[in-house]
Amino acid sequence: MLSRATIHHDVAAILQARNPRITLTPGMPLGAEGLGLDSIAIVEVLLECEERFGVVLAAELLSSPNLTVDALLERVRVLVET
Amino acid sequence: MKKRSAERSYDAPGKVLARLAATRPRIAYPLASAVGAFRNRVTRRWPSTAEVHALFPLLTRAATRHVASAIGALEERNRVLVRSIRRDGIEPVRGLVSAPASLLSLRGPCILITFHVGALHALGAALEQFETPVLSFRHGALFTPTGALVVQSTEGGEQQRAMAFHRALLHLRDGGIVVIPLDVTEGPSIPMPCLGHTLRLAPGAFALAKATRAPMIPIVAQWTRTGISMLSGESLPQPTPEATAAWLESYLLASPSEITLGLVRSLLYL
Repeated sequence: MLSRATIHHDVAAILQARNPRITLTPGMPLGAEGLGLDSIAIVEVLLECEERFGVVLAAELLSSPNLTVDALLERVRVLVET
Repeated sequence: MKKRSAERSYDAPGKVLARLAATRPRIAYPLASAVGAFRNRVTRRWPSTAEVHALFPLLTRAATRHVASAIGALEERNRVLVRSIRRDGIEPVRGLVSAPASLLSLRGPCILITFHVGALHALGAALEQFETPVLSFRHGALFTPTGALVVQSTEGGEQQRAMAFHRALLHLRDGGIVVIPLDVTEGPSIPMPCLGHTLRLAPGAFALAKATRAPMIPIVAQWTRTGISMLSGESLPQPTPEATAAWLESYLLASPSEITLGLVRSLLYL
């Protein structure tokens, strides 16, 4: 099983590949007011996470009220651990 | 006060014709055309001949006047159509719309692209009759669809648009058909040259085509003497913004009267 640190590292790498100049913070939204991803890039990031960790999370996260960096990390961690 | 009164009188024929369209569409829409063409000739606006000339400079002066009048007629017909659908639903429109059997039996995955040309708002009545499930993007729902058609609103912020994009991706991967108006952009857009001006294309359709390898086929709805015909072009050689803008430009050069006032304005002023 992947460790929490590995998950954090890999998710951060996927996100920072989209916007290398930004410093990730836990409550940062993925969209315009945070990481600055547009709708297509948000979906691509989620699909990349699905592929990297072998989980299904895009539809659920997209319908959640706040799509933030820590929401993504937490969902990946829970799905990987179960 | 004066302005309000002018707006009321401007809208008055449309309101009456929208009511008539529910029961006598074959009378209401030609009348709407006559009202729109007359208004254009009297006011020399919506659109002006200068606006038409800016897009179609090779037309003769008489042809430019004719196209301006035809666009004015199209605008009024479409206003009556939208008002009628909002008032009485899509039912009265269903009997007016026809589509070739080859289009109705089209198989997915496939991306049908539309523009603000012709009777765009009537496309839903034809899409309902498709054999393959259709997911159609629209800014706000105009009516409650039945049959094969599901409407996905693109209203909202980045996350809502991401949800719509993801839904379309899954729909295409399941072998469905997705319909996307390309000349309406809520977020970032791809600027492309068209008719000597800038056409702003929504990027989602191109990303979907790249991710799924689904072909991209342009469709239009044209007003005819007896109703509305849905037509499709050939599948684009490449699902790219360049090929899309080139297709629209060649369609409009061949049929300049099909451009809507909204697209005239977005090409000239946005």
